Formats: sequence, structure tokens, C-alpha cells
Amino acid sequence: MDLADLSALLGEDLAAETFSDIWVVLPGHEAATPAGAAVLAEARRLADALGCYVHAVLSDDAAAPAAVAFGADRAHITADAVEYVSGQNPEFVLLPAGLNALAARLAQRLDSGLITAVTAGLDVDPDTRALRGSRPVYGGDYLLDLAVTSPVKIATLDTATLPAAYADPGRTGETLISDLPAPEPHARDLGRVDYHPPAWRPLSKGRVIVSIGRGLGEAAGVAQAQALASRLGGELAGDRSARDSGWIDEAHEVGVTGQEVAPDLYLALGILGDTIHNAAITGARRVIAVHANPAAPIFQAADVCVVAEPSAVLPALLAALG
Amino acid sequence: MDFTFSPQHAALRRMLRDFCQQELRPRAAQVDHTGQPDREILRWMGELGLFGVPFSQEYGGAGAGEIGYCILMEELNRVCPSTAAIIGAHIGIAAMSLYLDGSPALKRKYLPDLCAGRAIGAFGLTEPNAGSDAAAIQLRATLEGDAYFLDGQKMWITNGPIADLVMVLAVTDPALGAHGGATVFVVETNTAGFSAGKPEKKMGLHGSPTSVLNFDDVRVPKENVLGQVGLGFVTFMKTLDIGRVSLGAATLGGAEAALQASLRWVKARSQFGRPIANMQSIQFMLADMATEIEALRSLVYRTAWLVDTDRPFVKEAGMCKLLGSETASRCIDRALQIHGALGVSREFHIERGWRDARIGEIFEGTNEIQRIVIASELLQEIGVRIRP
Amino acid sequence: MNIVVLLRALRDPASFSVNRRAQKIFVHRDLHRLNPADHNALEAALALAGASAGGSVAALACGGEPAGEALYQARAMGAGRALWVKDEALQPADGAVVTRVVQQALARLGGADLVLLGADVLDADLAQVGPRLAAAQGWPFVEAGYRVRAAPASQGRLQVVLAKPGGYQAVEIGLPAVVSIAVDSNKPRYPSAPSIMRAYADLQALDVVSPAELGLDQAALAARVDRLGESFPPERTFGERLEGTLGDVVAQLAARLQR
Repeated sequence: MDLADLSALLGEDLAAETFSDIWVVLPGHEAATPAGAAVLAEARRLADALGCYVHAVLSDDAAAPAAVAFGADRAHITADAVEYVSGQNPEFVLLPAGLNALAARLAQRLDSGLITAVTAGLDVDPDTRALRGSRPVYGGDYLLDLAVTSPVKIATLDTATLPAAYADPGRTGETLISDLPAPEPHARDLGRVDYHPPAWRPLSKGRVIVSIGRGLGEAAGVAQAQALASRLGGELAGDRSARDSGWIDEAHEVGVTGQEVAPDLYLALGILGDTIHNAAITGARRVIAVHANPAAPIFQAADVCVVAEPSAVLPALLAALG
Repeated sequence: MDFTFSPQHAALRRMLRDFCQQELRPRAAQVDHTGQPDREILRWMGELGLFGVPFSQEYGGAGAGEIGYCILMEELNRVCPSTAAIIGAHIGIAAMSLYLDGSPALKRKYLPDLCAGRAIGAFGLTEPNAGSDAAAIQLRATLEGDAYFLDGQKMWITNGPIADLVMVLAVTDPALGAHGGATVFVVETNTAGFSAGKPEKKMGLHGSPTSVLNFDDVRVPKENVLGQVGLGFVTFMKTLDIGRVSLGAATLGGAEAALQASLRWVKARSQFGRPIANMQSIQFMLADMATEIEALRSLVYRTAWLVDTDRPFVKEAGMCKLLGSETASRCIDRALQIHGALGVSREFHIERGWRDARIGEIFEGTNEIQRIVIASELLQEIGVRIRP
Repeated sequence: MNIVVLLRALRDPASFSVNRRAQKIFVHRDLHRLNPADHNALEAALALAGASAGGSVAALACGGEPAGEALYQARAMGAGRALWVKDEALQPADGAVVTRVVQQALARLGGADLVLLGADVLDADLAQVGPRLAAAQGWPFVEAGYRVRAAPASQGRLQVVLAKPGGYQAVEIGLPAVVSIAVDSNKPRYPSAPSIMRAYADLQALDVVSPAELGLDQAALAARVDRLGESFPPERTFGERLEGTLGDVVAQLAARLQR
């Protein structure tokens, strides 16, 4: 539905009143990214329910067509999003969770409430116009159901949990360009530094663990598994069979006889999964297992199962992740 | 009645739990396999004031009292009984004897180093011919001028090979023997004539070195007499009385570790198509473990409270040691049974815990001696005196 | 450099369990601990103060008894001062309110050159306090620093190392500033046993104030975000199989790993 349709439907000229509209702040090329598109699509969904417009605040007019295609009625181009939006009398502001700090600055400026990293239940209370959303706490053990009640309501969305957005190239919208100067940057960039974070957390506290077992086949796979672990920002570990093969040391053996782990992601490659191993990963939030044997017990402990040769999956996965 | 820990003791436990889980636990298997205490972690523990937890800050201690000391032993023994044994011998009997009966000058001289872990202490009572019958000691101390000369042997001395200071009981008057003729000396182990034997090969506590101590005319200045000449046996018995409380606390930690491991395992292990947690035979073992542990916890911390509030505690201290060592042995044995073949694997900590626990029924007064202590206290309350 | 570190105490994750089927939280024990990233921020503050001549660390916490415990811990670890804004209602409070309280508390502490806090808050939507505070004070804000240290050449500036895709990068900012510290970045020191006992024995260890004493009335403490309750993720299911050719499976797998 575009602007003209909406106006006609509601029988009034909504363009004159921007309060009660939804503003989506997407500096840079965010509007053209899947994350930015997903937030625009969510804004569109809410706006259709509320009967209001969606404004996209961008820093680059090249992103305007994408913003409109994904749901914006208007694109605003400005070098200072906080200053600009503050002067626009918004009721709702949405951003991707990657911009939490910007959202907080805006919230402070507008003396408004803010929910960050909403993963579920984003809607507007039709009576109070409170902006409701749920966001995970304790690493996702449960969610807090929150409602912003201030006149201006801001939320950032965890875009990884949103459905993919689809562009409607037929949508039209206008583009407004503001001449506000860019704010002075607070930080001076010093570029790359040679810094190595001290590895002080034991495997038992690792957040991402790539774990290998004898089903990996050749020792050549170990280096690829290590590369995958680095790519995912995690650590390489293994089960008893991997230690017996000399692929990992004692401190990296996952099992009740070795280390018990509770990562956010446990990726098991070629691990058969006996009780000694599986009992040590019960604290993992998400387990993905790859093994050639469809009857491997690891699959009973895995959220996501891939029945395939790990030695074939691993190089393809590395390539796919880039 | 208030059964909560004070905020400072809760904070102490939080720190100890973090330290033990993050730093000590990963090294426990290594300490057991090599039979070597981990010097680096001992030094670190010294810096954190863990070698002087119960003693007053005046002497460099933490001032956490017997309750704080019990928390320390419980948390240490939960993850590494060998390290707990080193600390237990150091604080619970060696430094404790000095703290209880030493002169202010002697305390000022040695306690700050002991509390900071710069000096490791050992407690020398047992001899080849004097174990439970401690009064039968023969190590001789002879006064010549301004010094005593010690001659003889001690045996099964925890921390023997690594000690810098040994609190040793010696006979100063053979005519009186233990009863009025024995004296405690603080011996610096770098003194000529002193030597420690090779570490004994033991069933458990591999990382806690135990050895013979040889005294070959070791010169000890008169100032290093701990307490009064002739009253050393009293000092040592008093020290052992109080040491039994913290020993009970250590066994509590061992039993808790066994229960925790069992709980994790019964949930994960399936047999006959269901987790073994669903089986009543397993549930009964878990319930018995938890019940005995809770009883022990109540006894240990109530007794520590008796000590800290200057109330009589000797009977209860014997009970801590008796109930604690037997509870730990039973709980770890049940845990081993629950784990099946995995329980006897040398790769797994249950087997180590099982080996480490058994000595609890023997050292610092066998459980038979504890029963005698408890009975003699009971009988004394009705006017019957059975202690010699 | 006067450093203020903002601490939050929260329910220890080991003290409760979540039953998704029953849609309930079962609390087993009443245990609290420092928010993990705040613990790292406290260490960063102590290390920075230790490395700079005349550096001082004041710890600040808002809330009920657990907040007080967090401050005793900070004193035991080496913080020179601690200010406790004692009010049970501040425990679940929202970002705008906490920011307001912190602003007033900073004034009471005599100002600050640098405010550090954890980049993540495990139990509440309060990571927004850092950027809010910076905006309210008109100070620079840097998010998720791994290492902070005084800029070697110029007075009154700070270098912060940040994680960027493919490596680490440094930025330099002017003081005063607010910097949030990445979780797991600075390994917290253990407080020694004597320092724990000393902290609690010191009757002046904590400066305790109420929001009213900071000049904050009920209107200033009015929440902008209401807490409606808790909800629960769907029950975990095991055994979902990815089907298709190797290429299909790998593509699905990559998509899930990128989340």
C-alpha cells in the first residue's frame, strides 16, 4: 500500500501530521542490507495496523530507493540522524540492534523509553499506544516483556530473528534532503592495532565451540575445523577420540572425563556422541551436529542435524561463510 | 536462631568458589598425576591470604575465624583434596598450634610469613612407634646452654618435604614423658641436622607430599619453644581438637562434589531406554547422599560457630571428623557405583576422589580415636573420667 | 584520573532454572553476583588507575542489598570509594531512570574523568545506560572496549581498543568520557581474603544515599518503560534434520551459523 492508497483509505490527509508516524533510522547503507530491510518491513507492518506512515532516515540518498522498496513512505537524508529526528516530532522510532548506542542517544535526547534487541512480540497497544516488545535476558533463558509508555517510543530490533524482507520495486515515495551538518566525531581512529586478548577463559566458559571427533576422518580436517572455529570467533575442541588421535590436548577434551561446556553454540563435527560426551554438553544452548552415520547418538542431543561426511561439509561451509 | 552466613563469609565463599573453579580445578588432575604440589598456585593462594584465613589480621591473617576457615576447606576439597590437605596441615594444625599457644614474640616472628604462604608449615607428632598412642613419642630434646638439641624421627608428616617450619613435639623430660615432659618447638627446616625423607607413595592425596622427618642433633634456640616447657602435649591435643572441625568441613566439600557429579550423570545417562535418574535404586542413593551431606553441613558450621563464640566444642569437633570422613567415603563410593565403569576410570575425578577420601578416616586421629574422644566427653558429663 | 565504575548486581544464573514447558522460573537459592561485564569493567578501572599516577576508582551501584554486596566486592578488589544509591525500586529500573540517578551520583562523587561500565547487562535492558549517560553529559561514548589506557602523548585523552571484523582497532577520545567494557575482556582479579574481611569491618566502606538525598523526587524516578512480565522461548526440540543436496545443506547451515 502506498501513500496515496493509505490516504484515500483513511479519508484524510495524513501527510500533514507526522506525529504518530514511525521513523526508522538507518545511517550508511543500512537500508540496503538485510538487517535494515527487515526493520523497514517491521515498521511497515506496524504502520499498516496503525494507519500511519513510515519514514526512513538515511545518510546517503543512494539508499533511498531501497528504503522505499522495503516499506518507507518517505526517505530523509541527513548527516545528523539524532538532531534531525529530534526535530521531527516522531511517536515511534525503530532501529536495528546494531545501532543500540545511537538509539540510546536519541532516547536520551527525546527523554523517551527504549527497548533494545527486541526478538519477539513487537506491537503497539491500540488503547495506550505503548510500544511493546520482548527481549531476551540471561543469554536467552527467558524474555522480558516490556512496554515503552513515554510519549516518544524507541525500540531496536534483533534483526537475526526477523523474517527476510522482500522488496516491492513498484512502491513510490518521496525523498527529502536536510542540510544539517555532520556532528563532530568524538573518537579519532587510530587504525589497526596489534592486540591479542589474553585467553584466560577456560574451555568450560567458551561461547562458541567447534568440536571434532574421529568421524572427521583425516587429520587434514583439523586445520579446517580450526579455521571454522576462528571464523565463528570460537575455540576448537574435541571428544575423547580426537584426543586419542592427537588432534587436541587434554584441556580441550569435551566430556565428563574432560571439560564440561555450556556455550551458546556447539558445533560437533564427526562426533559420535556417547554419554561421556553428551553429558558434558547439556548446558549448551544450541547444538549443531554433522556426522555421516544417521544413527549417531549425537543427533539425540543436537538441535540441528546434518547427516553427511564432515570432511565434505567442512570445506564447503568454509567457502559459504567466506 | 539464624542459620545464614554473614555477608563477609558469603563474600569469602564467592571468591573461593570462583578461584577454586577457575584456577584450581583445571590443575587438580595434574597435581594428582605428577604427585607434585603446584607451587605456582600455592604462591598465588598465599598472595590471596588463603594461608592465614582463620587468624587475626594482627598477625597477617584474614580474620575470618573458624567459620571462614571451614568455608575455605570445604571449597578447596570440593575440587582438589591434595591442595586442601596441604592447607589443612599448614593452617589447621601447624600454624594453629602457634596461634593458640605461642608467645606474642614467637607469633610475630613466624605467623606473618605463615599467613602469607611465604613459609609452609608442618606439624610433627606421629613417630614410628607413636601413632594413635601419641603419648608414646620418643623424639628427644636436650637443653644445652641457650638451645635445645633435637634427636629422633617423625613419620607420616604432611607437608614434610615442602615445609619451611615444623611444629614438633619432643620429650624434654623422659621421667615425666608426655604428661608434663613433652614440649613443642618451632624448627626452621634449613637448620643443620634436619632432613625430610622421600615423599611416601600413598593411595590418595598424591599431590600432598608426606614424609619422614629426621632430626639429627638439630639445634633449636630456647626462644623457639612454643608455649610452656613440659606442656607440649596439651598444646598438641588442643590443636588437634580444633583441627577436626575444619577436617569435617573438607570432607563436606568432597561429599558435595560426589553428589554434584552424580546428579549430572544420572540425568545424562540412559539405560533401558530412560535416564537412570528415573530408577528408584539410583534415587535412593541420591537421597541418602543429600541427607547425610545436609546433616554434616549443619554439624560442621554449628561447631565452627561454637569455636568462634568461645563455647565448648571438643565433643562436636570429634563428631565433625567422624561423621564427615565416613559420610565422604560413603558418598564418593555411591557416586562411583552410580557412574559404573566410568567411576573407576583414572581419567575421571570420582576415582581420584575415592582414593583421596579414605585417609579422612585415619589421619589426625583415627575414627576409633574420635569415638573415644566423643565417649570420654559424654562420660565426663556424668562424672566418669576415662581419658588418661 | 578519577574513574567511576558503574556496577550492577544480578541474580546468579546458577541460582535459578527456567522451565520452558511450565513457563516458569524456579529460584533455588538467593544468590546474587556482579553482572559479568561490569566485573570486567571494574578490573579495567582498577588496572587503569593503577597504571596512572594519581588514579582513583570509585564504584557506584543502585538498588537493594545485592547492590551493596557488589560494592563491598569492589572495595575488597581495590576501589577506593563506593557510593550506594540504596533503593529497592532501582533494581528493575529502566535506562532513563538509572541514567538520571547516575548523573546525580556523579555530582555527589565530585565528578569523574571517566565512567566505565559493562557493555552487556545479563538480566535487564540496561546496557543503554552508557550511551544515555554520555549523551546526557555531552561526553564521548565508546562501546565495548577491550583495553583502555591513557593516551601516551597527550594529557586528558584515552586510547580504547575495540574488536572489529578481522582484528582489533584503536580509537582515541578526549576526557571526560563514558566507555563500556566488553564482557570477558579484562580478567578480574580475586579480592584477597583479608581485604574482603577488612571491607566489611570498615563502617565507612560504603557511602549510602537515597535517591531523595541526591535530589531525585518520584517524578524523576518515573519509569518510561514498564515491565509487563516474562515470556519464554519455545521448548527446545532435538533432531531437526537439514535435507537436500550437499550444497543445499551447507547453504542452510551457513545461514544458521551467521545468526
